[in-house]
Amino acid sequence: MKKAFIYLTIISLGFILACEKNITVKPPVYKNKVSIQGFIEPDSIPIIYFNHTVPYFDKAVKKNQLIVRNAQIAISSSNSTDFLKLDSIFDKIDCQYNFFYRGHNKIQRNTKYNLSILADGKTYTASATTDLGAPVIDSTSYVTNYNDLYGEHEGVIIYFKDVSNQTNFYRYEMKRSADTSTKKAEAPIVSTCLGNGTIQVNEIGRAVFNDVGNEGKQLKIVIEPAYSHKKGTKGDIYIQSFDKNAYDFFAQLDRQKLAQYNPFIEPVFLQEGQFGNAAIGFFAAKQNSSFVTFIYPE
Amino acid sequence: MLTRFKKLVWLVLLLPTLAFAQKTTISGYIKDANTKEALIGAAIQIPKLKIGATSNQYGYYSLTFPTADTTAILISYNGYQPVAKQIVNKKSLQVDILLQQANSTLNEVVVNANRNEDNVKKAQMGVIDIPIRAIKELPVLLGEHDILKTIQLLPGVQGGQEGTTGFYVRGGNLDQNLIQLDEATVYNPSHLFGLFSTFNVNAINSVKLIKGGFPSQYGGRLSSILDIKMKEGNKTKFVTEGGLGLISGNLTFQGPIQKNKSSFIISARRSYIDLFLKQISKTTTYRFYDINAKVNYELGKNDHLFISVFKGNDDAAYTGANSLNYGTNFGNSTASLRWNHLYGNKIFSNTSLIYNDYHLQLGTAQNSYYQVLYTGIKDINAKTDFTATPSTKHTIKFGANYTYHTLYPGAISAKIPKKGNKVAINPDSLTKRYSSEAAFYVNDDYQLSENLSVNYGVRIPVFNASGKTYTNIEPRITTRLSLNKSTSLKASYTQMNQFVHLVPSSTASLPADIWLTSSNKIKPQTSNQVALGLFKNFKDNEIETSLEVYYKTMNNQVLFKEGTQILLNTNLDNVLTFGKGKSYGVELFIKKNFGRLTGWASYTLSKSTQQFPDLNFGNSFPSSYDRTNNLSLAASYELTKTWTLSADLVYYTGKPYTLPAGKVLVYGDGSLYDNYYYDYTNRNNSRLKAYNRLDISFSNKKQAKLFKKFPYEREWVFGFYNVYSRANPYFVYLGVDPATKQPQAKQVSLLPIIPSVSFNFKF
Repeated sequence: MKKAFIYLTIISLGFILACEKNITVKPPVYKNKVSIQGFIEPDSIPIIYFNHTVPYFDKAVKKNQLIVRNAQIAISSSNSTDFLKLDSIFDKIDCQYNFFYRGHNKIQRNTKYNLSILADGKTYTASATTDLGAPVIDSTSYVTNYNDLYGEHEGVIIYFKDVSNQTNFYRYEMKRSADTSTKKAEAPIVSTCLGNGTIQVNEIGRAVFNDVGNEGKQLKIVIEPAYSHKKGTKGDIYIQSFDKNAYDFFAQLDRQKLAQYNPFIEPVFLQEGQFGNAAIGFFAAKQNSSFVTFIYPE
Repeated sequence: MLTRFKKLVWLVLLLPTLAFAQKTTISGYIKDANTKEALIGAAIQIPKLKIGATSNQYGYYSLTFPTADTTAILISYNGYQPVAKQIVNKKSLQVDILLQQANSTLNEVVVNANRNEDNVKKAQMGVIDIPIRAIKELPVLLGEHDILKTIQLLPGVQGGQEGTTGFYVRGGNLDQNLIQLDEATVYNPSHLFGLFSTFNVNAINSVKLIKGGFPSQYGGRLSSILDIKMKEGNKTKFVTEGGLGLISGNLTFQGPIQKNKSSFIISARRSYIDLFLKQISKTTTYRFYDINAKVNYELGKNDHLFISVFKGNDDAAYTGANSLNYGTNFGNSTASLRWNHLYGNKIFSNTSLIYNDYHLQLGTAQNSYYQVLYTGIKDINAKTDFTATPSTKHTIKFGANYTYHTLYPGAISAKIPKKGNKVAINPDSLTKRYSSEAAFYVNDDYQLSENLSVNYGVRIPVFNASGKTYTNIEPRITTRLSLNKSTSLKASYTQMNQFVHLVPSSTASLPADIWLTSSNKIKPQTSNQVALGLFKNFKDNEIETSLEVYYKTMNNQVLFKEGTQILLNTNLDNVLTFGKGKSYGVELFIKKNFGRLTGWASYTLSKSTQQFPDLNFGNSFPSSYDRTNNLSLAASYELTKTWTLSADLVYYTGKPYTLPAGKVLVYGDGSLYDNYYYDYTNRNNSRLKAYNRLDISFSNKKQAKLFKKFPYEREWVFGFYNVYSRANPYFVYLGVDPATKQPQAKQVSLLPIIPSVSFNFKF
């Protein structure tokens, strides 16, 4: 009797083993938009990423399926107009081409540029001015354990000087090499295109920072590296400075990713930016700092 | 001073009676003849004059009528044999009336010649008395009878997550329900991850839900009042009853301290599930207990003292599906000291001192993230309420209420550290938030004529926190127009204010709510509700029906801002966003009170929306507790004198949740995550699959003899929860197929078919 009671209890507590299964959900109605992402930086050729957005459950995830072809894209200043052409570069890690529109003329400093895109009968416009000063990296270091909004993680610490007399927005960039032994976000890089060689990767921090309350002062940021490293792994660190349009865009992406992974956070909707409700994205000026070589101590 | 006050009160209250001469007032208590337990809501009527009254929550009644040589009065109460009495020409009379319980419901058709017809005769709307018998007979999860599960089957009430005791009334959030046990607020009325309520049915006398047309004595919440009264204890003999279920056992002991004058009841429940879980799981532990105790003493004819205490506590940890982990420790403690006093035979007063202490420490983890939250609430409450019946036509209630709140909330939400050292919250380190809440009210239930009555009043709440004071005037009115003897039309308007807020998380699958009080930044929630209802009884009140429509607007609703990640040093006032809500619907209720088949059917068609300037692009969206269709059937059928079959069937539209509509590719190598971002177009734009479930139970109840010598009443209950084992959705989360890189939706379900058996006894 006692045993029967115990068995019945165990059966009755079957709910402890919650059931989990894949389901098909009715996709929400979605009207496709476009996304426009482009920085202009003095002394660089402008590049604009111009893609379709797709319904969330759409099978189109390859970059060649998302690129908007046959768009007329122009970046003009008071002096000149540059018509951008569709171009691509092969990404060995993703094993697919990245598509973008590339200009011909280098961007000038302290100049206002207007972006104009004509595609599928619609026009998208925005402007940006290349008047940002370059931040200066003072020093770098490394910490094995750091706690912040993103949890406990190792960190690359960068001290840099805020550009005075400007409202500035920053993020981190590291150029380094990687191979198949490198892990990205703790997952091995699996790519049939990479072979045994090494490639240059451009690691860009998702977090963005502003200089509110720290005008002209030294700032400290701690970045969780995306790619794994060994003792002696080298990388060139930059601090990107860009304008508010880019900051607003990347700040909401960062908050959205946090909410996407943390089930205790309310979802973050992408708000209208420079292009209104017609397109998602930004067109912004950027200015990189000079690089500092960083060597991982472990 | 007291004498002058009494005179003044009398003068005010007797003004309405001056126009009449020669009145007789009878008053007293209506009690169970065997236990001397107060009968709440018993009807006392004078059929010839077509007037009547009902006993209040302490069993007290007072009825004034024109003096005659003899007057016949009839006293009735559901499940009891009615009593008829003759009143001979007297000016006033104090009579305690004892009613005998009907032996079996099989005989009730005969004995209930005159049944309670409050639902058509009183100017009250949205009020449902839930018979304890119904709560005890309905099929239950794991053999545990549950008040709140029964509440979820009522019209206008929606259950929360699968299996939980949370309930939502007419589009309001959980915090908009004031749950009171002997007038003490119970902030978290749940056990076992919210699967059971903390209320031990054996210790409960009455349960009343008010969801609209609130009389002025009630306030402080926007959507409902759940008024639960504990038994007083048997005043004539010692009684022991208890039960053994699959997960817990309970024992109730009651009896006289001084026969017919004072009594006690003590009831305790404790889970033993932890003993079994030790054998099968190291990651899941569970332990809960609750204790109810009450003592009452009649100090004299006019004074009655009650002391009641309640303590419940849970300590649990649960590791289930990959995406779900949970650990909690929480408890409620309440203590009430109440004093009833009669001023003559027309004024009844109750003065209470109440203390409650609630704490919740909750740690939840889902995927690689965790949240720890702590809420501590301590309330000290003093209140005094008067009920005066100066004439046949008026029942006037007035009083005052003061509560001193101390809240200390805190929360952390973060990624689980690699070494697993999650941050803990030390309650002593949390900033305490102090506030005062007072309210004054007056309410008159006025019988304008036999066919027309109005219940009207006003409540004035005053709230102060951190130097900021909020006050308001809340008008309340409910009217009743009788179309014929068994049909009435009613309408009501109420305005409510609420100064404590439970900020809900719309995304978390497990409870992640934080209590806060109003402050400089958090304005009080307010609501305006209008309702219209048609009430009709059939077959001499055997069947009650009602059709109510309501429209409710709610202001200063609180939600977290998008993307808010709370850290220990986060000022919670700064991460909130405020908006408004709206709810409207139609509720149909059919209830059969007597006979072998009893039960009810309820159907609600409703819509609840919210609108926040900072959310959903400022557009209106379905609230998280919006359920378009909500159908509940609950029935109990006496197969024989010993066997009863009970069943309930529940169906409701699935819970809304937010799905991304589109995705956006964002270039930028090296991000810690993939480069696809969500394009949300509407909040709560998708719904979980509709929920439905059938539960059944068989009970066998009869008199037996222990060792063939000692008589006792015993009951076996065999039940099946979710008979057809439907995998109802608990929540849905999104992932990406690692092979195809395609998004996937995963549904987590709890509670398949669950058999149960329990044994109850009484001697």
